Amino acid sequence: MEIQNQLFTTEQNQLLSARKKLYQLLHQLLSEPISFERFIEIKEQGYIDGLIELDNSVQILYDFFYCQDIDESIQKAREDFFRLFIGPDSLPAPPWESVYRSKERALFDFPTFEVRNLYNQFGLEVRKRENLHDEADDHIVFEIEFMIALIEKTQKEEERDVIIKLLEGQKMLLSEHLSKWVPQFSLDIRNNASTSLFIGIGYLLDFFTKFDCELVDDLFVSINNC
Amino acid sequence: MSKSLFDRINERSLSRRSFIKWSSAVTAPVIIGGIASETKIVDKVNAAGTVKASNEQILSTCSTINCGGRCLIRAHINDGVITRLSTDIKEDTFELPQLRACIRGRGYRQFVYNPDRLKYPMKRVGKRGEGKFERISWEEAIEYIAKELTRLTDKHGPASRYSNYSTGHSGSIIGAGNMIQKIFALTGGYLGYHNSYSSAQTSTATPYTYGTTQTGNTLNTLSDSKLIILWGHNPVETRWGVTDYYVKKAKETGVKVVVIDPRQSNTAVGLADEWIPILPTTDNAMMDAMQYVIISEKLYDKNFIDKYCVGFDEENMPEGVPQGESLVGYILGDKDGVAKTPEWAEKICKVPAETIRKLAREYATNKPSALLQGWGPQRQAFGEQFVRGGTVLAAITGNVGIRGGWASGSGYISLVKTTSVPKGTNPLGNLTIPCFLWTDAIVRGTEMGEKDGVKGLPEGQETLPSNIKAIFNLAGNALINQHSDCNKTAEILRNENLAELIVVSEIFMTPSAKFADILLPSNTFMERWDIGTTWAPSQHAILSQKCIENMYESKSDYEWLTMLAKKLGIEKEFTEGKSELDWVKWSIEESRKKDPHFPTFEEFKKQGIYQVSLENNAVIAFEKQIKDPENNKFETPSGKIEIFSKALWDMNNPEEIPAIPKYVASWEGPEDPLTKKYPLQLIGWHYKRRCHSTFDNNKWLEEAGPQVMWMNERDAKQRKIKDGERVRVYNDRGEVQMPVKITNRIIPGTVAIPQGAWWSPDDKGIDQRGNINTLTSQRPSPLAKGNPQHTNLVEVRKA
Repeated sequence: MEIQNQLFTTEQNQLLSARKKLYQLLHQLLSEPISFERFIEIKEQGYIDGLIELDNSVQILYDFFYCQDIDESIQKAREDFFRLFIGPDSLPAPPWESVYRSKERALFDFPTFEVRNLYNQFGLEVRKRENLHDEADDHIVFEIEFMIALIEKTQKEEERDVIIKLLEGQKMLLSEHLSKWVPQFSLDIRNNASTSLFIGIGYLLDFFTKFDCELVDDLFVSINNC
Repeated sequence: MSKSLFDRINERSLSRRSFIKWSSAVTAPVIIGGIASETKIVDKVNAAGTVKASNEQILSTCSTINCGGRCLIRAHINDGVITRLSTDIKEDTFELPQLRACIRGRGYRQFVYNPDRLKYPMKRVGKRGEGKFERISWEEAIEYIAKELTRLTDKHGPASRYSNYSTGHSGSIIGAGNMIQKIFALTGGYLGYHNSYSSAQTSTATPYTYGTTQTGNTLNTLSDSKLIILWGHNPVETRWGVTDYYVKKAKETGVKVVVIDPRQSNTAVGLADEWIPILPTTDNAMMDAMQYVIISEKLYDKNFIDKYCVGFDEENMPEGVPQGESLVGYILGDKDGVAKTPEWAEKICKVPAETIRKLAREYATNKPSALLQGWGPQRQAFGEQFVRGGTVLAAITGNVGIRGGWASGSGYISLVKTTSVPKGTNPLGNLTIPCFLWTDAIVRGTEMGEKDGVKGLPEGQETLPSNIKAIFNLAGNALINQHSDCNKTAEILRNENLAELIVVSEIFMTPSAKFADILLPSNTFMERWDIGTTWAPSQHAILSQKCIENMYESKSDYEWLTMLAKKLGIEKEFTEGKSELDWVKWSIEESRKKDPHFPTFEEFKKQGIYQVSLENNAVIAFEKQIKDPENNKFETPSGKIEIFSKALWDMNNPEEIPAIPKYVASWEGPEDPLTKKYPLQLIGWHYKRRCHSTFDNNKWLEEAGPQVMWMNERDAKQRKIKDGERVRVYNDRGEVQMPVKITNRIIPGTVAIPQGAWWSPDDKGIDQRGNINTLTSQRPSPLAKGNPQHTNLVEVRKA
């Protein structure tokens, strides 16, 4: 059963829910190398063909889930994941905003602190680990997770002013962060991935962060007008 | 044609409908439930809501990579993150100069926060060297290493275990290479090494003149010289402690500075009054000719020679040596009929006879003068001669043991001494190989004996008991990149029947790391405790403070070696109950026992640095021996400065190891017939933008110093090569392709590739980055068995 927030129209509630699901899909694909179980879950319950209507480029992602040799494709996709985001070789698509936006092309530059502040404003932070260096807050997966958290809060929130704040947070993440580095990041993914899974993700990530800017803008306008 | 507003609105609503349609078809629980367990973004623990006020902490530290500078770094830390670096800000005085960072030090933030750092332990899955790895846990890695190490020790004995030369923890008290040797020592022993890749020839040859390698003065005394000759010495790029600073200060007071170098180095540009270009490997021809001028014009210091030296002329030779073997005899050509005149030398080294004559006169008549040798020219086929030649020039002009002079040779001085963590005693005694010959010891260890420089063989044993089977290459890139002849080395390493276990710990995926069976992610100096000292003239030590926690799953070598020791049942013996921080504190206390001025831990933490003021603390090598020779002998067999070494004479190899320094025409030198096929000499240099091979992957530093080969206009013109073009550089050992810089800052007939670039062979084995060791030889120098990195012949063509 979808959550119905009385301050939104049915369509807006549906859009909130859809946004959350899409970020969750991206989160799943970007946070760890794909397993057989997850492959099957997404293939059977993720309705990837439905996303093709949204943008043709999703066809590539769809092809991955309908490939001939599943085991081999999964293995290749896992290798791709490590090559792109983990190492041990030089990373062709380092998944941190700071790398894309800092002069030094290194981690822990100003975007890390900007998103850390943003998370803190909503009472959130990246989980701390004892005796280990904090993980960089501007990892793509954390930024997506933050978005999911804000969408969930928006869905449940009953006060209009708070909703406005929550939407502002989403807009801030999109306009001041994701849209400033995801275009190049996703291009690097597409240019360096060797599997349709990651070429597909490269397109979907780029397309969706742009599309979501419009969605959040419209949500903003309607909540302000109601 | 742009779409109408109506079209766009229409498209948007269509997309939205598709999006909602997709969403409602997705089976909700799967995706929604999917991430709950892995959530990393959580409610803030101290849910104050907004950001806390800036609370910057500044910790001082230093790197422990093998850098000639060892600058003071101040890490500005906000919320557990190094946000910027600054460097030494104290008052800059002649006695206590600032230890400011150069571009390398300023690049440390990119080093620590580079996205390419190794993050997890890895196990090789493809063929060795192919670079295919799979992530494993630390426990799995330790388990594998312990099992393989035990198996190989059982099968081949402890002498099959080797910790490869590496300098990623350099000037440090807790070197990783030493610590694995400690584990080896506690479990049966190991094959050790002597020498270094930096200074094998000078460290070996200098004592044949002086009985010690401690031949340097404190650098402040350079201002008391009348002339400074920097022979193959480039401190503006290498820093070399603060040598660049003190040469500059000397120059400011009017001291003339001459640089002899095939390249017009940055030192030659920045500090020299005169640059004398010379062909590589021919330094001794010029030195011989300088001696000819000094001898024939009677400019030598006769009193000094009579009092302190042996072997100058036939009158002061050691017993049992036939006539005609003295320095004067050789220089004047008594025996071989060749007087070593400047004209003779000019033909060989290409330095005009008049230039040689002028410099010899200037050096001999302007006392005190300082002849400082860099370590580059000793890394040649007969580098020992270069070292001995310099010391003899200093001796016959009486420039030894006096303020403003310089004894030449290796130039060590230890004003500040630190105490290393003891590595225990090797049960196999002092069994060592020259560090340069480890690839030989993999292939033919059991054939290697004294003639290969093996030391410490037990009575009655002629050769090593085993080939090397287990290699630990911790914090170093000499497993391939910094060793000679990459192609040959790679072939040896690829053979999994030769070395059966290769463990590498690294910060990045270097060419050496690619050859690991187990690849372990090391932390950086910012993440651990240590103490750092600098290159040769050691005038300061810096507390290398831990500034941040370990990143990703990285560990310090000491941390994971402790895990390995535990697995092998020797944790207590290995750690002696101490963490790295405990060892640092222990080391400080030990140093304080010998030097009461050494700061306490708390003082060290506060000051960051222990720097001895040079005011009233000047050290002049051999001052005692010169002032009071009766009570202070040189530590040589004769007790004097040995121009002629009886010990070398007794080796009975006068062509390659002469008893007095001589010009020996080098294999792959300008007189080698191989010049017909490969007419150009190739040398390397230490580039300001790298510390050896460290930082080759730093993009900022690459902007400051791109990897290019230097070539003289004349050589380029003959080959129709234009500035900036990619060229092929090749010989029988391999091929490099890289961009060329056409310049008159290098002598014709010689090309130069800055050392340390990461070997990047394409599928044909052609290096695409410009690693000089693709072209260098594994043939060692005769006496030290040192690396001849600057002795190469090549040809260059347009790519």
